Amino acid sequence: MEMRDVPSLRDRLADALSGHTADYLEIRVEETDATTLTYRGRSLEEAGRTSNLGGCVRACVKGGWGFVSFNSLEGLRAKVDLAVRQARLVGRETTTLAPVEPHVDFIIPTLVRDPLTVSLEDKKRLMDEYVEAAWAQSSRIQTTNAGYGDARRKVTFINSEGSYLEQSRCRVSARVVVLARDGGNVQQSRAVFSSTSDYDAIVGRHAEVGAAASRAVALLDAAPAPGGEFTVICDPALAGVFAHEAFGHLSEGDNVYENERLRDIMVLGKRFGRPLLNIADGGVVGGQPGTFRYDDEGTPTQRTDLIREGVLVGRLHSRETAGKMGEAATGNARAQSYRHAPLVRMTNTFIGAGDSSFDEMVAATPLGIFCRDWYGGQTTHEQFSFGCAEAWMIRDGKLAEPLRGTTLSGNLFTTLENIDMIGNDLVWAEGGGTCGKGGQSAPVGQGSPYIRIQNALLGGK
Amino acid sequence: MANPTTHLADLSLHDLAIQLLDRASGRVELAEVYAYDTTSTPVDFEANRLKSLETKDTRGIALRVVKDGRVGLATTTRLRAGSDLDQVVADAVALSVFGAEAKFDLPGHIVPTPVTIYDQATSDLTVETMVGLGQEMIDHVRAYDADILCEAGVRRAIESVVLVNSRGGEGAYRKSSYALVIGGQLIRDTDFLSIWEYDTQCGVTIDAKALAEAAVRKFEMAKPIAQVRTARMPVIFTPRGVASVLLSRFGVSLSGKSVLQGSSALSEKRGETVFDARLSLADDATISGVSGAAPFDDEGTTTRRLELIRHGVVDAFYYDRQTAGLAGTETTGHGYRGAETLPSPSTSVVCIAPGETPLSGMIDGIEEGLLIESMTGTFAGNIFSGDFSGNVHIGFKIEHGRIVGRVKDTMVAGNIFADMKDLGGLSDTADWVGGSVRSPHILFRELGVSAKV
Repeated sequence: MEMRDVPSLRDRLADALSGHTADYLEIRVEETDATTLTYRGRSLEEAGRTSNLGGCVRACVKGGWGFVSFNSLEGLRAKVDLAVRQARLVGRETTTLAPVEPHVDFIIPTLVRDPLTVSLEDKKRLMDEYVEAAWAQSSRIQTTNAGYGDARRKVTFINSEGSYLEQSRCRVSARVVVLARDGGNVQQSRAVFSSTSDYDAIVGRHAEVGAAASRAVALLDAAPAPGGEFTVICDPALAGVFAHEAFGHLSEGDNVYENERLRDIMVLGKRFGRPLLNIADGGVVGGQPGTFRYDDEGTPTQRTDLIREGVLVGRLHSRETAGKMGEAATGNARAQSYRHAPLVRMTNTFIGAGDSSFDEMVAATPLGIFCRDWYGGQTTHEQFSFGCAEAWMIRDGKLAEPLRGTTLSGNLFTTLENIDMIGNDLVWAEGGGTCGKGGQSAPVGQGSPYIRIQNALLGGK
Repeated sequence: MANPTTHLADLSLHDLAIQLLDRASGRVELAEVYAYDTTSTPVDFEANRLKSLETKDTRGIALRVVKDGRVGLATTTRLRAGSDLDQVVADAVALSVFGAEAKFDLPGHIVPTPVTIYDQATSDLTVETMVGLGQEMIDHVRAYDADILCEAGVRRAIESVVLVNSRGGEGAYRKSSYALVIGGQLIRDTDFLSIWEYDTQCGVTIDAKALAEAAVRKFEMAKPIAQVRTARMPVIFTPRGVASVLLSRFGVSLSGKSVLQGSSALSEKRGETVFDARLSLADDATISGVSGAAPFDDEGTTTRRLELIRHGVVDAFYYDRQTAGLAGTETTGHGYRGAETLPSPSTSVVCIAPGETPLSGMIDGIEEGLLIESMTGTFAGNIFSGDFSGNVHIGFKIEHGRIVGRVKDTMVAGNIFADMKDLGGLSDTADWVGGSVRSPHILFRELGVSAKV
């Protein structure tokens, strides 16, 4: 991926960092270029191109942080000075950052077919076809909202310990949301295609767009889901969101490290689920939205087991949270952009495969609900909720009448224990999700097999 | 970096906008430049103590053009030299080939509504004062219960906007915003209680101590845990509950864009009574001192108060210029934009009129019901249908006219069209929720409540 050549940037950054009295300093510089096509109904509503250049300085003095972000790279030294002064105003303790070997590295993704080599005409033609594929399904389709996007991002990182990293990333995606309507009854479904390396991955998928349109239309005739407690089978996409919301956030070190009571609750070795449950996270998992070689503090990413055979065995860290807890940094410090300091957050989170087939899970469920695909999720740590797009009743071990989407909710401490069957194939949700935390959003990968949860709470009438 | 002869960083925001407009004007039928410059200085406390000081400067520019009758957009924060501006023009022109057919004109004069949204006192706040306010709020909450792990924020931002177009329209404003947030987490066994209070204004007029005291009162109310059964029962949404759960449903249903597309359930209901006769909802960007206010929208239309629902009747939808052009109507001054997108219809400051019932009277009349402050998961589901469903995050059980404790593991579901035709009532006072919503408490006669047994 060819980005703008910046031969002197490394020297300028190194120069701006030298000679300050801080315990730790880093500078990040980010350049992005993105193109989007947005459709309302059958017509292209917005064609836009966006470029960004910006940077930030982060300083730590006696445990206190200063952070300065900017768009102009002029006067960098003064910006470093300001960050150091701010950190000094805050710092009252000692700086404890988990050690990370300095790295010098240049990461350029290997692209199968670079979206930038495809003409905008071709991209528009593809989206026109997808939109028409949706409309062709039924006269009950009210409208479609579709979008194409590709983006390149290059982040340059330098710190006062000798690390210098340049990392480039690429993403291409297409989505079609279909709304079907019958009087006041409005239902929706969607198809999302995405890749970090290959434009062709989003090409030729008209049948899936048509299927999404058919699902939206079918939902018009589905009954609302009932409320109350049920045995629920989640498809891999929904179960991936469940792993993220129900458990992932509580494994983030920043929630735990200064919270004594939570440290007691989240003590390593504690049992959270049955022996069939395994949950892990890692930026090294290939080709997912949360895949990268180094995090935004320059720590190499890894795979971190969080729950192994039902028992809490690990958590996610930045250098600060790891240092304060006497654990190792895990490569989970991520910033949305140069406008933000990194937060501890997930990368690609997944539930490990078990040994049941989907058919076995349904057959073993006398009365329950099968929930498919997702519309977001949310957690307050103890309680979480997440939306499913569509559902079916399960009666006498067989899939029965279709239901509309609903919201599932649960309590971390009881729901994980209630997972009693796990499917035998791990599937990653295409395009993953966007996780919001602390005013920042970040792309994350979510993977899981089918899972069955006893006594899940559904919101309904 | 390239070796620029002039640094764009040295130009005023106005001169930067004019430079870009001049480069674009000769090449297109219409050009509009939206330029912004924001400096924010958040002071954040975590785990009871000062954690970080930040200074964030953001400067960016957006160019919308109409060429051969089609709309193109390019935006950038890569502002080093004149060649970066030329690239923006080239991008916008190149994209216009694929853009929508333009159905709008731009104003030759931008006439600002007189509204006060800048307070010098906010600019003049010192970091030391901000740190002191944060500490004061934390001390107040911890004096009540030292087991509460507090977080606080004292945040100040100054935003400058310049809007110029090739019809000769020019406008600029400066906005200050000041926000306080105080809250914390109280963990007992495996019960996690998180309470937050916040307020945002243009001036430094927020009472930090009163805000901290409001958080304390809520912690106190939330300490006992009450039981709930699965049933239909009366539910009161507090102003925050209204803002966080219900308003997004009204927002998409009243948007001119959803109406044009037919995705709004209100598309053909203008002039019809859809809601309770006591429900009136307006959008009003002209209220001074409120951070959601503005003298004109992001495409230069003078802002004004717009009644959307009047006594239960759908009275109007809100529009930007392009959507209004497509729909054969006029813009209502609701063309707002993100840093990287075209203007599109959006609300500014949503005001729901108060009713006639005192809150205490509302609660008194409930034998068994809920009072809901916030829910999780309500963004999910099908927003166009008016359905809302989620897990109660902060909510209280009402028994025999009294609040008896906090509820847990409780789901609530309803629909704004079905369940707001005949309301139990609206409280006689409306409260601000941040700088963009003012609402009374709203009582639903009956909603579906599901509880874990």
